[in-house]
Amino acid sequence: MAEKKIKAPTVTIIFEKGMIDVRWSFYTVTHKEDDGGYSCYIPGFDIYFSAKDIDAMNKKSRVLTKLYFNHFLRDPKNGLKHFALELHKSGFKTVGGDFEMKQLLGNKHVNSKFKSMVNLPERFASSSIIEQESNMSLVA
Amino acid sequence: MNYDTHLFIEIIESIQGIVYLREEVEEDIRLRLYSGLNGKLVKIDVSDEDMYDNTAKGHLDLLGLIHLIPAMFPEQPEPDADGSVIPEGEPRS
Repeated sequence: MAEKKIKAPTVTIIFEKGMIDVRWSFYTVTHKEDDGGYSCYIPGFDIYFSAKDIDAMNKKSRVLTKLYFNHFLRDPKNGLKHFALELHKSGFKTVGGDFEMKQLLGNKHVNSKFKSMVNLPERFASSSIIEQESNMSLVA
Repeated sequence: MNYDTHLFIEIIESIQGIVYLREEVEEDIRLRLYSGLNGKLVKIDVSDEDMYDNTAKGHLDLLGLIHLIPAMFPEQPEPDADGSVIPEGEPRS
């Protein structure tokens, strides 16, 4: 049987009319626990969490990734430069190469797309996988 | 679920080198951010009273505290034929 292709997690940053639009696609790997709940992991963003059912898992994975982004994008002390650096350190690389990354490090408003280069850790090979997307907008 | 979230937070915050950064909240979901021993930004969901052992172990790994796993999650001793459990090191009758 053909192995299911999983899309690598991505983060897209678009500047438009004084706003920053951040879109991200990712997947959550889940392990069903004895009591029916789920222990979960979001590769790329390196977030572990627990959820009592599928609905809670879907909601938590979207909100937790957004709260992680909030730390950088809603706090002027952190900002775009630190966000780009954090993504880079987590294994996300700019599709447009180093030039795009350097522009972001200079807090320049350049549209960019990051793609995770990190493979799913071996220990999750037999886990269930749920692909998701989310987005947020904020004033640039 | 298995591990008390408050206890888990108290344990990691008692360790020198683990730095609490901030808490982000939306709806009923609370995320605490820490800097681990290796400088890694670690995201811990503290929305629920408990978390599964697998989740807690994942956090410890990212925080650079993997050495705490055997102490925090000891293996349960095998029960005897009569179902009793004799702690390791004690004589069996």
